[in-house]
Amino acid sequence: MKLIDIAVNNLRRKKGRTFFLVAGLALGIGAAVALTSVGDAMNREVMHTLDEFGANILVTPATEDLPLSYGGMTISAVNTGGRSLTLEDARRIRTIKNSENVSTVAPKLLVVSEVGKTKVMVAGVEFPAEFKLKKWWRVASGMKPGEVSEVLIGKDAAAKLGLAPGDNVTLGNGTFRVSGMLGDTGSQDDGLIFADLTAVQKQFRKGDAISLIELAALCSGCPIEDMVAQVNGVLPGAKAVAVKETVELKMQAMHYFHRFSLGISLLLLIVAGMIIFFAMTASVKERVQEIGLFRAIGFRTGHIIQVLLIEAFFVSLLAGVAGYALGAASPRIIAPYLMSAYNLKFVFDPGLAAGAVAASVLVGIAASIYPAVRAGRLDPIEALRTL
Amino acid sequence: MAFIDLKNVTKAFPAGEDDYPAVRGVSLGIESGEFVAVMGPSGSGKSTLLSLLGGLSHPTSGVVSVDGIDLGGLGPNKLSDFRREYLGFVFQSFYLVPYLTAVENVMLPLVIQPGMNGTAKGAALEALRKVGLDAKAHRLPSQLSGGEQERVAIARAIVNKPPVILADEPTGNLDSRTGDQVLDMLRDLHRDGHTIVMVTHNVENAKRAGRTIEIRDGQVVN
Repeated sequence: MKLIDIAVNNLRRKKGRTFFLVAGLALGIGAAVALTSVGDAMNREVMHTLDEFGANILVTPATEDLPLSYGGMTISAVNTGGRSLTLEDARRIRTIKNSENVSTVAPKLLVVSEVGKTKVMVAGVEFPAEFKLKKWWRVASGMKPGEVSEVLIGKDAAAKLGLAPGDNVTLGNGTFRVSGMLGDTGSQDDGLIFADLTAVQKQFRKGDAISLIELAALCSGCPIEDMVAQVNGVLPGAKAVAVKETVELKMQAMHYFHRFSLGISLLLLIVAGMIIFFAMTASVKERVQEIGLFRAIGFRTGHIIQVLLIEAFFVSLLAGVAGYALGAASPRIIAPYLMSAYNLKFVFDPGLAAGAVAASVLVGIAASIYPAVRAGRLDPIEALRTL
Repeated sequence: MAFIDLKNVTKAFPAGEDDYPAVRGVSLGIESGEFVAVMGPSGSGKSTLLSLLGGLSHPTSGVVSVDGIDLGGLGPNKLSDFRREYLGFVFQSFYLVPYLTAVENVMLPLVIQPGMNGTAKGAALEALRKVGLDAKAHRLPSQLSGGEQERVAIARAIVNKPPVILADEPTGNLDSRTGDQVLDMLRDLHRDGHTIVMVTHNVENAKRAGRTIEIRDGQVVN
């Protein structure tokens, strides 16, 4: 038998008291874990929305001109001369420090073409990247382009030009087949024809040039401004700007929620610590004679403190594990009823699990130190009143 | 100097404005291997005297020494070490730890003794065998009778083979037959070479000891 056996036997043979202690601390830890995991899940949801939201960084050729807009009408710098971007620039974006946060790089070449007597804007795009970037795109009729000679046409453009899937259309020096028509997007995409980037470069004799690059960056760990600066760093001839209003508002709301949940978690841990403190103090009072006996038969102050802190360690370890399980399971059950607007996905987070157990043990031990030291210093003769 | 030596020892407790002296200027000596009964009526100071001998409390004045060690000069942890090495306590209320089995209770003094890890259980079972309780070694105190609990307490007092056994009213909570058995055990321990100091207010019990010290109003009268 060792000191640890005394502690474990006490916990084992006083199951009711042990259960109360574990449950008290586990509830506190559980609530903190639940708040944190809901916060994390909401954060991921916002990041996902950010991805769905489309591009949040726009890269255009740098221009030394003043803005070419008047009364809400803009003549883009994209096609007004100056240095244009190339596909090599698009590739270089993948070399920035936070490149793992770049989910999509969608280069585009914008050209104007005539179909019959009507001018139309043709966007040369890389279709896989474009579909990834614009998750709201739906092919209303026909199919996604599968060949380089196939184009996707916006709804308004199809109506104005009298084109339907299956028709051929001449753009620049080449003939393309309309493979599908986009559903209503409510954006400028409705009036455009989308063709394969390399085909547009070839048919309009643009070489390797592109007009702009749209980026979707997932930036939970770094400010979007950092990534913009990094892109500007690797592309000296270009100008990257962040498109950020909505996302930033959401991020700000998330930030407030994160701070709120951190505050509440801290409060819960303090309450849990107080439960342990009072329960330990009561336990020491209840065990005064036992502690007096230990002292009488030769236990040093340190031995008594050890026994009590070992008990606190096991109680808080158990509470940490139970609290994490409780806190991780409860939002999965409750969240769908409370936050139907969010499609929250919970994942096992080893960091949160380890943090919960560590916080529990820390709170349990810290709250027990004072009662344990007091117990260790009990005067044996006071404890054993009969002597 | 005697093995246990008290020189002009006074122990006073705070009581209102004045201190109440439970033991007043006691000087006595107990030789190694003696069986001494300390007798006196309730409140005479005999239990306080025992707590002073056991290093459980410090005298207000005077010197208590055991085997030449001045207990007044020892700090709390050194006093703990002294008790572990020199003393075995037998209390009137047994003071068994309720969540430990008989053998675990007996092992308690060995738990904190360096180098006893491997042999502690064997020593505890041997002590239980001496008091005739080895068959009930794995029972909890609540599963034992009063007499059996006292025997477990005696086994715990002798398990680390201390030179001195201090017994405070060891038969106080027992019927006369079981009380006799406990006294027989103390006599056997005395024969084995232990120094025994037993506090009692029972004259018949005191007759089992080799010497009786009578105490009244905190002073030795005989």
